[in-house]
Amino acid sequence: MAEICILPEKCVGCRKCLPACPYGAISMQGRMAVISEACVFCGACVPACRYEAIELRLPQTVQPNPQARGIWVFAEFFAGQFKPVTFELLGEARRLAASSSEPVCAIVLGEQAAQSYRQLWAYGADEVLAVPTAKLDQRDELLYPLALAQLVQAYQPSIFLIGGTGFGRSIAPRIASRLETGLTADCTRLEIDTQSGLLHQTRPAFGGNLMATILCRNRRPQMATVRPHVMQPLAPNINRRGSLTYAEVRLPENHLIQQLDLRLTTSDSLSLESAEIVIGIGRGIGSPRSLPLFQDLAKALGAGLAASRAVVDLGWLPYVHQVGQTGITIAPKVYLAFGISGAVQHLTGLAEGTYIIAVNKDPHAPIFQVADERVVADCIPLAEAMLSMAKPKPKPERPV
Amino acid sequence: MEIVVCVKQVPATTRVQLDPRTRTIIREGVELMLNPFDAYALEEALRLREAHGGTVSVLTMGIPSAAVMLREALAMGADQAILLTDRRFAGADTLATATTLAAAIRKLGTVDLILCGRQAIDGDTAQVGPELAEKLGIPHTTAISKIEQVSTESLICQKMVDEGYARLRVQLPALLTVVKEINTPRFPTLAGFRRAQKSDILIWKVEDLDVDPGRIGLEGSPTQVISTFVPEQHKTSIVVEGTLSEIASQILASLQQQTGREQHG
Repeated sequence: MAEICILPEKCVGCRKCLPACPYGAISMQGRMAVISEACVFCGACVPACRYEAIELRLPQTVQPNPQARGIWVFAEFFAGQFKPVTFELLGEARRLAASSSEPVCAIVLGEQAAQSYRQLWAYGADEVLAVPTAKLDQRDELLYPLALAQLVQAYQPSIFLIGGTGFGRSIAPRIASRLETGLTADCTRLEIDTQSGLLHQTRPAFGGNLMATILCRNRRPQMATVRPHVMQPLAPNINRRGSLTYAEVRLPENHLIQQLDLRLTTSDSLSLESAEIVIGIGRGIGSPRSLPLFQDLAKALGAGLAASRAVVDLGWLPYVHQVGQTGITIAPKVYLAFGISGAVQHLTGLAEGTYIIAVNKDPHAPIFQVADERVVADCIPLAEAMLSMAKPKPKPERPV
Repeated sequence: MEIVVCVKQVPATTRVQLDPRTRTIIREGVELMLNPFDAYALEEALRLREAHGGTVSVLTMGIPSAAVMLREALAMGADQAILLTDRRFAGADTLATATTLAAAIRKLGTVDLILCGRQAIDGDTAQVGPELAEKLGIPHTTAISKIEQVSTESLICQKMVDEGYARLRVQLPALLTVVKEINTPRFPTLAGFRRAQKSDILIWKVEDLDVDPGRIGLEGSPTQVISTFVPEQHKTSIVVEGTLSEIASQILASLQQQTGREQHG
C-alpha cells in the first residue's frame, strides 16, 4: 500500500506544508508536522516542503495495454438527433488526435442512430463504429454499458470520451467499473502529454476554487466525461468522409429496467443542462407573480430557466430548476442572474468559465464578486425592457 | 425489505476559501457533515421500511471519526451502521471505493435495495453509485425523484432525465441514486440519539472483507491526482450602467456576443 511519512531528521517545523494540504490532514505536534488519517496520498504537500522532509511511497504499478489505440467518442442519440455534446467531443477529439496521431472514432448504438453516421464524419470522426440493432434504439442504463464495454474489449481504444449529460453520467461509471478502468468526471480541459502519451484530465475540485489534473496511467481506456458547452465543435464539413464499421454485440433481454413513460418538460422547455443561455432567478425578483415575465423572457431568448434554492424552497418553481449544491450543475455559455444573491452553494452549480451577467438591486450582493457584467438595477423593469426588445423567434416543435 | 444506504461524510463548506494574498487554502474550522444527497437516500429508506417492514443499514467508508455521522443516521432511525475504516482503504478513487463498498454489501448478505445520494458534494462525480451497482451485478438508475410502488420483486420510480421525467420499472435487487426532490429528511430525535448512543457501530477492516487488497485504496485506484492548482483569475468585470433600455440592449448584445448567435429579428 501507499505510505507517507515525515522524516523527523529533516522536518524543521516551518509549517509550510500545512496550507498545502487540500484535506487539512497535516497538523503540528510540537516542532514537527504530523499527517493524520484524513490524508489521501495526493502528494500536494511534497513539493511544498523545502527540506524534502515528506516522503511519499506509491505502490508498484502494472503496465498499460500497449495495443490500445484510438480516441473514442460516444454519440448519444435522442429523439432523432445526436446530442450537441457529441459534436463538441468530436471537435475536442480531433484536437487531441493532432498531438497523438490516433484516429477519432464515434460510437453509435441503435438502428436509427446508425443511419446518421455521415453527420459524425462531418463533425470530425475518422471512423464510425455502429451497432445497428433496434434493441438499442432507446437509451438504456443496463444495455448501453454492456454494449459499450464489449466494443471496448474488442477494439481497445486508448481514450473514451462520454458527454456529461444525465444519461452519460449514468452509463460512463458503469462501463468504467465493468472494465476496471479509471474515469474522470466533468473534465474542463484535456491534453495529451507528448512525452508520456498520457491523457491529462483537468477538472474542478473542492467546489471549483482549485483545479486538479488527473491521470489514468495503467489501465485502458482512459475515460472521461465532459459537460455540454465545455468543448468547441468543428464547423461541420459535409464533404468529409471517413470509414463505417458495423459491429455486433451480445445482449441479453433487459427485463431488469423498463421505461414506462417519458414526460418531456414543456413550457420553458429547454433542458437546463444543455442550454446555451440560462436565466437564473432568486428571491430578489420579489414574488411568484413575476414568474411569467421571466418564463416569457427565457422563451424569447431561447434560454433555460434556473432558480436558487430559496425560490424552490418557497415553492415558486419545482426542483428541476434548482441549480447549486443540492440541485443540478449547469454549464451554459451565459448565466443571466436576476435577484440572485450569489451564495456559494448556488455558484457551485455553475461550471467553470460560465460568463455571468448579474442583475441585483443590492450593490453588495456577493454575486457581483464573480460576475463578468454587473448591473445594479431593479430586476422587474429591466426584464420587461429586455422582453420588449427581444423578439421571440418562432421555435420548431420538439420532436418526441 | 433489506435496504442499504451508502453515505459519506463531507466538509460542510465545499468551496474552499483561498487566502487572497498567499493563494493557499484556508482550512480553519471546517466542519464535517452527512452529504446532503445521502440524507435524502436515508430518509427514503426509512419511509420504505415504515411502509413495508425490513431493516435499514447505513454503510460508509471513511476515517474513524465518521462514526459521528453514523450515530446521527442511527438517531434518525437506521437499524445498523457499518464503518469501513482502515489505512489501506485511504486514497481510493471512485472505482476502488465501489469495490470496497461492494465487498461490504456482499458480507451483509441478502439486500433488496441500495440507495445512494446522486453525488457527494465534495467530489461531485456521481460515479460511485453506478460503479457499485456494476460490481454487484445489479441494475441501477440515477436521479430518482420519487418511488411510487414497491413489491417484493420490483419497484416503480420516477427519474429526472435531461429532457424531463421518466417512469421506470426496476427489478430488485437494484441500486438507485436519489435527488433532493424525493423527500424532506426528518431530524434526529432526542430519543433517537439516546438509542444511537447505545447501539454499536460495526467496524470492518480489510481483513473483514473478501476483497483483493490490490483493488482497494490508492493501489486499487486507476486514477491519480498529479497536481492541483489555483485557476488563473483573469476576470475583468464590467459595470453596465445607463437607462433601462440602454442596459437592456447592452445585455442582449452581450448574450449574442457570448453565444455567437445571430441578431434576432
